[in-house]
Amino acid sequence: MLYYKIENSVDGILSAIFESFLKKEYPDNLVFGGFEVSIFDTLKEIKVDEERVKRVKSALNKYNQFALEKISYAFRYGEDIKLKIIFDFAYITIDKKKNLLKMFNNPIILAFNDIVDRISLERHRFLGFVRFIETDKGILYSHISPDHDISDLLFSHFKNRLNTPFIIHDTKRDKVVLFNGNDKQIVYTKKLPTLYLHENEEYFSELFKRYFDSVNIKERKNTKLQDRYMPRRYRKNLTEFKTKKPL
Amino acid sequence: MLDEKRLQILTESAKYDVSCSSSGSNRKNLGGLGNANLGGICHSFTSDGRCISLLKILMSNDCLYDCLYCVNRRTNDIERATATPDEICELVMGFYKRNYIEGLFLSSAVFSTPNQTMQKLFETVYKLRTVYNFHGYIHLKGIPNADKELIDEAAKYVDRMSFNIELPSEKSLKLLAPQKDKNGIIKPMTALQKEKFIRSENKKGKFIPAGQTTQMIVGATSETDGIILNLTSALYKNVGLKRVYYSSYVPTNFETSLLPYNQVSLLREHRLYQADWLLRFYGFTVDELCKKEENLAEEFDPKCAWALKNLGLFPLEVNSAPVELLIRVPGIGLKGAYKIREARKFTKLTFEDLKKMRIVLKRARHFITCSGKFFGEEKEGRIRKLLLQLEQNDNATQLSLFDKNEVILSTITGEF
Repeated sequence: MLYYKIENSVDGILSAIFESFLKKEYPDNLVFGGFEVSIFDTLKEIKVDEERVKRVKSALNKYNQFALEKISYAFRYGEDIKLKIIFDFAYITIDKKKNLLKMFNNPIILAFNDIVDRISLERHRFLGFVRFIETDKGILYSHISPDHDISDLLFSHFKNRLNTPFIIHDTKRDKVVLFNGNDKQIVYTKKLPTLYLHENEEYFSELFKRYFDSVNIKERKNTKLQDRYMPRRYRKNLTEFKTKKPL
Repeated sequence: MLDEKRLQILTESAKYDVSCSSSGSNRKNLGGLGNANLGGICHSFTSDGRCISLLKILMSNDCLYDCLYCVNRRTNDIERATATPDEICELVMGFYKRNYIEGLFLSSAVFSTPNQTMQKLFETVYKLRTVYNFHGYIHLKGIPNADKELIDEAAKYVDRMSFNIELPSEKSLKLLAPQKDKNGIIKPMTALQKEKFIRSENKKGKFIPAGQTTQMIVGATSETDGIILNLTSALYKNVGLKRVYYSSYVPTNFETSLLPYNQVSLLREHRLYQADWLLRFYGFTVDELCKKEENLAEEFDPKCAWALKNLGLFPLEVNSAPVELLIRVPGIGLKGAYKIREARKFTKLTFEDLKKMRIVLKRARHFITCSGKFFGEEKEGRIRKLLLQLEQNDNATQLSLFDKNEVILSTITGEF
C-alpha cells in the first residue's frame, strides 16, 4: 500500500494531488501526524508547496468553478476519511477535465456528495438545536458539540436573527464563535467561561421544559421517529432534556 | 408573567392542532428580534416524533362552544385558563431569544363573541410586532364568523393564517359542532385569499406571506377518503391553500354515541398524507388515486396502488423516460428522478448504477427497464404478492410505518 503523509489541511491534500499526477501514481490512503506503517507499506511524506497548490487550484477552477468552495466545505467533515474522499474527488475532476458533481452513479462523486450533504444536514439541524442561556449582562451563550466543524457556519443566521451579542462554543473543538455587536470573531480556547445567569433564565428554561412535555401527544408515542430526527448524541446540550423541577 | 400551571393548560389544549410548519415566509429582522427562514426550522422533537417549531398556545381554553370532538368543549370538565396579550408576548420573546422556538402559533377558544375573541388575538400579534419589535414567524388562527376587517387587519402582521375545516362535510359539522357552520369557515378563507391577491397586485405590503392552511379530523365521521381528497384538491385549487393537515381522531369524549370510542388507525391518516403529497408534487389527480365513494387502499401506498391498476403503462426505460413519468414509478421519488435525469447525461444507466445511486429498487424493479433489461416479475399476480409482502414488512411495527417513508417524514417535520 502507498500512503501519502500530508499536512492536515486543504492545501495538504492539494499538494498531494500534484505529487500524484507528477509521479503518475495513486495513493491508497492519505494520513497525517505520527502515522506508522508496516514494513510492507510505503509512506511518502508530502510537504505543502505553495506554487504547486496554486497550480492545482487553478486546474480545479478551470473544470469546476465550485470545486474549491465545495472542497473547503467538505473539509469540515468530522472524520479523517475525508482526506481520501476529497483527494479522489479533486483527482477525478482534473483527470476527466470536467464537472462531475452530478454524475450520481460514480462512487467517488457519491462519497464526496455524501460528506457534503451530511455537513449541510447537520448545519441545518443546528439552526434549531442551539440553545442559548442569557447571562446577567444580557449576552447569549450556547455550547454545542456537533459531529462536524460547523459552528462558524451558524454565525450569520444568528447575527441577523438575534441582533445582539452572542457566543457559540463548540466544546468538541474548543472553538468559540462570537458576535460582539459589530463583527464576527473566532477564538480557540480550552477555557470554559464563568457565567452568571440572568434572573429570568431559570423561569424560561423551566417553562420550556414544561412546554416540551405538555405539547407531546402520549397516545401517539413514536420514539423511534424522535431518535431519527434528533439523534441522542445531540441531546446532552438541550434544555428540554434536562430534569425539570417539580411543579 | 405566565406561570407554569397556566402554560401547561394553555399548551396542552393547543397540541391537537397538527400544523407546526414555520416555512413559506422570508420576513426580515427590522432592527428588533427575529426573522423567518423560508424553509422553516425544527427546534426540537417530542417523543411522539413530531417537531416543535412554533410555540403553540391558546390565548384561552375557556370555550363557549360545545364541539363534541374537542377537548376544550364547554361541557368537558377540565381546568380553564386565560393569558393576557403581554404574557404571551413576554413568553415568545424569552423563548425565541434562547432559540427554543421559531415563532408563535396563536389560537384560542371562543371565550366571548367571535369578534371579541378575534380582537384579543389581533391585539396580541399587533403588540408583539410593534411594541416588542418581534419579526419571527407568526401563525394565527382565525376565528370563524369574525368580521372581515378584523381578520384582514390581523393578516397584515402575521405570516400565516388558518381556519380549521374541522370535519370534512357540512353534515358532520352540524352534527358534532352545532355552533360552527361551513360558511363561517370557507368564506373567510376565500376572502383572505382574494385580499392577499389584490394587495400583492398593488404591492401594498406584507399580508400572510406564508399563505393559509387548514386541518380536518379524520375518522370521527363517516366521510370516505375520496370525499376528503376531493375537498382537499378543491382547497388547493380554488382557495389557494398551502397545506391541508389531517389528524386521526383521538378520543377525548366518551359520553356520546356520535363519536367512535377507540382511536382511529394512524395508517389511514398516513395514506391521506401520501395521497396529498401525490396531488401537490407528483401531478396526480384525485380521480387517479381514489373514487369518491372509496377509501384509499390500506395494503398499498397510493402510488403503488395506482401503478398496479395501470400496469399497461409500464415498464418505463430509465434512460429515456421523461421525469413526469419517472416520478410515477413506485419507489422513485422526486429526488431519485432528479438523480436519474442528471446521471444519464453522463452515461447509460444500468440496474447496478441505480443501486449505487441509492434508488430503492425493491418496488421500482417491476416497473422499469435499464438499457432494455428488465429485472422485475412478469406476472401481475406475482408482482402484487411481492409488493404486499414489502408493505407488510414495512408496516410490521407501527413505528416503521413512519420511518420508511420520506413522505410522512416531511409532513410531520413541517419543513415544507
